[in-house]
Amino acid sequence: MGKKKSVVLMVLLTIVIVVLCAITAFPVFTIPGTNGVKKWNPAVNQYDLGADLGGGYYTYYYPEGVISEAEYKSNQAGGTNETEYVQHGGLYLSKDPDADIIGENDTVLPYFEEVIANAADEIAARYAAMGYSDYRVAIVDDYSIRVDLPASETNVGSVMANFANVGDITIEKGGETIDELKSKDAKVTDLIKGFSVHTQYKVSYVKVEFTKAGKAMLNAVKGSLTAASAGSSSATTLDIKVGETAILSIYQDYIDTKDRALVPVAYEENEPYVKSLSVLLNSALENGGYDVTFRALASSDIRVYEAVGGEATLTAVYVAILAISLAIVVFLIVKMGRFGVVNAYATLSYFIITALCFAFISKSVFEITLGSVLVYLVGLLLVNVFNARVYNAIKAEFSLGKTVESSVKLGYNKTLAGLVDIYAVLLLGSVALLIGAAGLHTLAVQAIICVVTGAFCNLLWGRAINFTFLSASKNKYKYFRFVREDDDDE
Amino acid sequence: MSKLTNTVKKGTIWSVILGVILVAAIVVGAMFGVNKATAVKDAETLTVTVNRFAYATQEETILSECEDAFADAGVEYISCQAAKMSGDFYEVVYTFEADVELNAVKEALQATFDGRVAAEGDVLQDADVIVSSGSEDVLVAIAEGYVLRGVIACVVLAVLAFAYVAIRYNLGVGITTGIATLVGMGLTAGIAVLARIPVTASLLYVVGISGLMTAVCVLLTMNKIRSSEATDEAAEETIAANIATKEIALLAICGAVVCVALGVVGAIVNPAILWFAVATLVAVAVSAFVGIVYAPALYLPFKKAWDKKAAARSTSYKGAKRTSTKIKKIFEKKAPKTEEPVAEEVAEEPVAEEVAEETAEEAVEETKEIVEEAAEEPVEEAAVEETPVEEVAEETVTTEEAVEETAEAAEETSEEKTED
Repeated sequence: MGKKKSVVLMVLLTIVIVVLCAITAFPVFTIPGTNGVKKWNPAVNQYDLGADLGGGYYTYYYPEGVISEAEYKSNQAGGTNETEYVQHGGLYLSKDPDADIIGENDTVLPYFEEVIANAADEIAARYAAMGYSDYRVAIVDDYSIRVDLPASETNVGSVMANFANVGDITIEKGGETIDELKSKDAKVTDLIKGFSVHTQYKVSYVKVEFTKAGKAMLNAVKGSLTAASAGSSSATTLDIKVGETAILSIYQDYIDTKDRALVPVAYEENEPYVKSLSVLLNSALENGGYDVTFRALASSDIRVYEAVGGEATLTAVYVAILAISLAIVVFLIVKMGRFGVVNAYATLSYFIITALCFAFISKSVFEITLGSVLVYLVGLLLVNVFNARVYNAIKAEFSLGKTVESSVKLGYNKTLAGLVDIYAVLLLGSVALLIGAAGLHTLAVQAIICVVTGAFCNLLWGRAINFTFLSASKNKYKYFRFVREDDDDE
Repeated sequence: MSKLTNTVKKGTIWSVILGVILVAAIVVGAMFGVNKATAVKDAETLTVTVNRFAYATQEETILSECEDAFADAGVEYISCQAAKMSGDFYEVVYTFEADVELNAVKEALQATFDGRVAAEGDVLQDADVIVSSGSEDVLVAIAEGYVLRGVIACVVLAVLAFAYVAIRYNLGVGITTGIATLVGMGLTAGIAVLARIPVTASLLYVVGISGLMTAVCVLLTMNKIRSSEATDEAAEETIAANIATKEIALLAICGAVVCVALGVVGAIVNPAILWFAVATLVAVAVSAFVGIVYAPALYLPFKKAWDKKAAARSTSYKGAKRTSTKIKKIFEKKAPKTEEPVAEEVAEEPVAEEVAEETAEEAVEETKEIVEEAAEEPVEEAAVEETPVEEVAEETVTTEEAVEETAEAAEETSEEKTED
């Protein structure tokens, strides 16, 4: 490549990398001329963070007839306590016979603790099915439940409210239970196989699979259902309810030719919320209901907490990553001369590609956790160490008396097979980690991104940058910090 | 001899040591359980709920009063979580060990806040500040299925590493890579249990990544060993001379720098990050150890077997089985006669007398042949020239006398040589 062409290419490359770095990581600022309305939002600000880095949410599920000590004291101060309560730890249990909690001698009825424990197990299983990297379900003072979720959950209010519903699943049409479920031994599982998430044309649906009997029922009622497109204010729909809440309403035109129902719920970006509905319905279908009703959650019941250390945690982590990257890159520039600059460009490319992929692969749960930080840093180290390996190979060839160009070619060729093997094994290992659940599954996807990007930067991109820079270099010996023996003699 | 030669030879000892560590970790984990992090263990809690919340002023006041009350009561909390709710509500939850008694602290703290709420001009005047206590029994923070699937994923990682390397290189290198990767992950988890590092979901991330790092270190060494030129050195010398020590050390040092940086962050802002950094440091050290020490020792018996097989293959080569007989004969004819390898024993030097006798006998035979040829010449010449028979006979007799004289002279010569 001619020198002029190489210089132009170098300049273009530098501009592109600087711009992409700014898009990826330049700190937030208000864009001038927008009256403070629009802000520059870098890619790193759009991460869904795990609890360690971004904090999260928590709330308490109180059964009907149970209140917290804070609420009791508040009601007491306001004079609004209408019933008598029995204190149990940090909870107050209503003595009202309708609540069916307290028996004779102010003792808690035996069934109540057991039903709370069973309901808590069911709720825990629902949250586990969502695939959060960090979540927590605890029983508080034996008769209430605390749930913690990471900050990455954007539909926290709906999810927490829905999962507190541990009632029976039933099917109604026009407000009445359908005939097929009126008999004593009839179960919803006789009619419905299961629920799943289906995405089509950027809309997420809950897909309802019916059994043979269910399809017969569907065909029987289909004609009497209203079409969603009719826009009627008093529609007749087939409602699938959990407890007293209608979760899905099936209109006539939601039923496809295969006698399945595809109920549109939200746009594709909100697929995690649709997944939560699917999890709730499957859980109620498989395990039935529990003889307890938790109080409806208000938005004021959901607490928001920051990561330990607050916003400083994330800032400190970014500063640490920057310091590590700078240290490695500067060290290698000192050691390897201009080849170290090539390595710096490759490192920046690695950073840009992985950071953008982490920000914009947003389907399902894709949280950035401490594991994500670690896997990014491991990839960064490998890119730099392997570039150093290539440099040493080039140096070894040069010491045998070959020309710089020949040494470069042979150095790359001799290290190629080893690097390909290492990246291939890393890729296979990352694919194996996809078997893991929740956070480990997400970590595996992030590891695949880092491995593929690292391989690209080491095997292809770095070599192309080196070729460009070397072509533009005036003194190829100085480029690599090589010294010929006869130069020593002079 | 390289310093690493001794470590390379001790594959069995290393395996035993690592096995003991793993068994100890399993026993300790079974007997005493793992060290659960704050978020995953049962605890007592003390909650301060405030309605009417002016962020900056009231939070500091609330936290300050709580700290004073805990100091007075001589109790220490494990963690503090401050949270906001919609509207004016604010809540801070302190977590204590499950055996701490909190009623007295709760009463004292409530009394303090009641006093401040009633005080004129106080920042908490007319606020509702309620102190409550409770107990939490953690049902799940790390799902059982999560751990089991994680373990399966780690095993599959090792199997895939074995499969790729075995196909790409050879079975011995593949087995070494697979076992070493598995050992790396097991050792990281085992040391984390023995060192009582708090267990959270993040620890499984470290174990998974340690598998990847171990695979890299092992491959760096195996690659270098395979690329080394064949020499006459013993297998352990070859392996010890070709361990990728510099590259693995560079990776390990950089990894340690990363851990120190994360540890500093954790020490300043978040203990969870500090413990994560400690666990990562363990993973880095284990990966380097496996790559530099254990994997080469594990590979030694495979290399010896491989070298033996290669040597046997080169000496016993007999050519293709299905070469036709005709071709074989052609090559047998064309190929130079290969002398049988000369025995290394030094042949006995023939006795001097025997040498002299042989020499004399040879000389006599040669002389006889020459004379016979010479005797035949006159007969032939006579035949050609038609020389009379008597003359031919005289020449022949003369020639025979000459032969006898020559034989006697040869015998005398041999006797002289013997005496010499």
